[in-house]
Amino acid sequence: MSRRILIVDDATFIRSLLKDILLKNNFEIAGEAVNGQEAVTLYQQLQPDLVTMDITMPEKSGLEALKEIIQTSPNAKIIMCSAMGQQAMVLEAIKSGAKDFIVKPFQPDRVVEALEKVLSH
Amino acid sequence: MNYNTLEIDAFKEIGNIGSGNAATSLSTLLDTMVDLEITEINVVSIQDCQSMVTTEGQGFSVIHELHGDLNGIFWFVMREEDKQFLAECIAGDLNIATELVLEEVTNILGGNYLKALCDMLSLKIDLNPPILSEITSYLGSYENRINQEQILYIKNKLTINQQSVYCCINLILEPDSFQFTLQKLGVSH
Ligand SMILES: [Mg+2]
Repeated sequence: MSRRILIVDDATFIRSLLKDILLKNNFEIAGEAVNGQEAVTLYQQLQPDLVTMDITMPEKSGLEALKEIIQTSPNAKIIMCSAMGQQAMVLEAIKSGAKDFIVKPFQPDRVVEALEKVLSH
Repeated sequence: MNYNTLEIDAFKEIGNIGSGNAATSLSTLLDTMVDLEITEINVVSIQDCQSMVTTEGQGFSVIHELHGDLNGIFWFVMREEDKQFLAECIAGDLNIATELVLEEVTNILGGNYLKALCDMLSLKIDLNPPILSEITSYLGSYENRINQEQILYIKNKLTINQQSVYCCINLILEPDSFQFTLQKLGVSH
């Protein structure tokens, strides 16, 4: 099974952290995006198996990017990964097609578990 | 406008719950104890607020504006000489610039602070991306933009692992927002 992941987060720190976790757990990094706009573009270009999507980002937020990607690729597997774990936000993301929601700060195990689960469906 | 004890207590509770959750998130990031001092509440003009933050305002600050059910500013400030220590504790051997780490730390602290408020009061708030700026001058431009007599300034100090390293997390709410919060808490007169 292919495990190519697109990491979307405006923070270098989080992208490095996620990359580290993913590589240690036999995932492949398809690419990295630093805002919602880049996420939408790179999704079309790279067709990753899964996306980890931050919410608070410049240019375009992760929620907007999620909606745009789902509109053109309804089967996209997107996991939100944000400190904005408000119930209303989580609900909006899930309703808009996100497969899971990881609240920062995250534990590596929680990330790996969520990705494995979504990829296996 | 004057506020009674009940209302001031309600404001304090916002600070307590928000900062409590923020402190927990910082503790998770650092894998160490984070202590929280009691919440300071001030209903002041932005000018007075500026003079209140001056000491720490000269430190390193990261600012997020918030919009939605509540409008205002969330910011993090710490002494210049401590910032590298904190960033290294969090980023470990990932080689990332101190400022970039602290931007995300503030995002996480702010996100968790607001999550607590939102879940308690059934609100939805968006956080803008971080801005690296000195807080007093930022407040100057903010004052011109919002043009309000008074704001609610909530301040909390977090001390890391009983050491001399600390940071302050601060929330400013605009008048409509703190009135709305009182309503939601059921204590508005
Ligand atoms: Mg972000």
